[in-house]
Amino acid sequence: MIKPSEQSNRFDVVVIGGGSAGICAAIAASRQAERGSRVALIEKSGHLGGMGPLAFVHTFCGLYHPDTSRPPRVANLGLPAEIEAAIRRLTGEDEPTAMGRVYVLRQHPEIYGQLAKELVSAEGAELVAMMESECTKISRESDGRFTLDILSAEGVRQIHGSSVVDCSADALAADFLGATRMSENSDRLQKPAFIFSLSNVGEGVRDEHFKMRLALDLVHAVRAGQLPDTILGSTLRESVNKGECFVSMDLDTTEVQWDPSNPAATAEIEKKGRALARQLCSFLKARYSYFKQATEPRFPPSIGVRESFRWLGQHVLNAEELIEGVSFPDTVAYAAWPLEMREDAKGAKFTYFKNAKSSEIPLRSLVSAEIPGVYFAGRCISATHEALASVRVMGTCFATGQAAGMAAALFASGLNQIDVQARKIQQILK
Amino acid sequence: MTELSSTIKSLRSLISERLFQLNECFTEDCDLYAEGLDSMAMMQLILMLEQEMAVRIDPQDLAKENFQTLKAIAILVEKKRFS
Repeated sequence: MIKPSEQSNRFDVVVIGGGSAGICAAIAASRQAERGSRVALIEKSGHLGGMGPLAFVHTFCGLYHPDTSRPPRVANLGLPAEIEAAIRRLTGEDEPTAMGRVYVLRQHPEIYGQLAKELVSAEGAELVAMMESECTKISRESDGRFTLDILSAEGVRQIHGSSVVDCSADALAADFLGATRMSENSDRLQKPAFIFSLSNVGEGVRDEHFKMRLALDLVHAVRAGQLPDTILGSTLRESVNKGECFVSMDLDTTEVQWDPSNPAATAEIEKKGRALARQLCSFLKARYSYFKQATEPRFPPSIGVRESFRWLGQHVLNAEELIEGVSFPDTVAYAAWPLEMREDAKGAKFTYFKNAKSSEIPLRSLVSAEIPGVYFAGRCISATHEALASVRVMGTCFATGQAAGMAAALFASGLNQIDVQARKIQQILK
Repeated sequence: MTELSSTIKSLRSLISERLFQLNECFTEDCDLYAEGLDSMAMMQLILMLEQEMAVRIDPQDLAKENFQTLKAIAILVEKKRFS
């Protein structure tokens, strides 16, 4: 007989990482799994919702079909639609905002972080969230199951899972399991963001003319040498909370030769982000009455990493497939955000899909090409550098997380053919 | 080619290269705001005009309609060059 203590360490599905992809993977796996099945969600911080609460990302991109000639429609059914409705209710945001050819939904990092926790805990005892717990090793046993070392305040505990969903954003499980990890040359990596908030800001910052004037003044300040040119990637957006605004900046990583696998360089680039933010705040306070009474800036716990490592899946999703809107037999999620390239820290460059329609993401780009039972979602799916510039956004992470979680639960229940899993997921999400 | 149409051509290629890809059916009278020109892109656009087209944009130029279409921007650029 299995002792209760051992029983508690056995899971059908283990999800690594509790960001936007991870929470959806865990909830979807838990809902999909047979009665009595157990799902573990491992999160290294005290937050769920990833780049929302950790990096102050304050909009959901990729939630709606990319067609602003029509009213907004959610691109992915199931959890993405549930989260969209919940966040609108909690923030009081009636409608998404049209931004050129796409819609974005404003949210609030704190509200979203709380919602992520509520959604996970609402699933009941069969979904076990392990917070402030880090996966430090994964091995695959001879019977095909996985053993994971989980480090927390109690020390190292071993847990076991029939399938694994890597939502670590960095394809950590690939490294542990000796599978291929794809990356991009550090000079082409999408530049990370540094987002901070200011409170007690005048209502006038909402005015479009003010934003144009700010854009002009920033360009002139950069040209006069008063501000560094990385300021040119900045945006100011009013929060759903009155009197608060968020400022997003791109970080220039060339000087410190940042790459996401170097934690010391990450600390260095974060320090630069804070310095740049303070410079911009002084500029805003000195120039504009709307910022005179503003509080000290609130800095995020982490920088907003946009790109690091990815898994090699059975299919590598590429930019052409997204732009042309290629059909796949095993489509389980839709990409709805244009390719948003940020290679130079001086602002985004958008490439839109050819037809004003969402593009398909096949299950094969969420399944390991090398190790059966390993799925992935979010920022570390099997995609090229260019395709990732579309699929990395939160709205799409919800969708890939949901699909990968469902597939992992099906695998744990003995259904291991990818095409059969895909058909089943398509039926459920219809 | 007139000055204006050559400026429109340069603007089209600069915007396509740096801000958002403009397809063949995007004419000189099409709405750039509908294509994604927001305050963030405006910063890149102003820099582009000042650096590549050697004009200085002033606060009084910041009317929304001056940046609405490729043609409107080209007219603004030509006017600034002339003055």
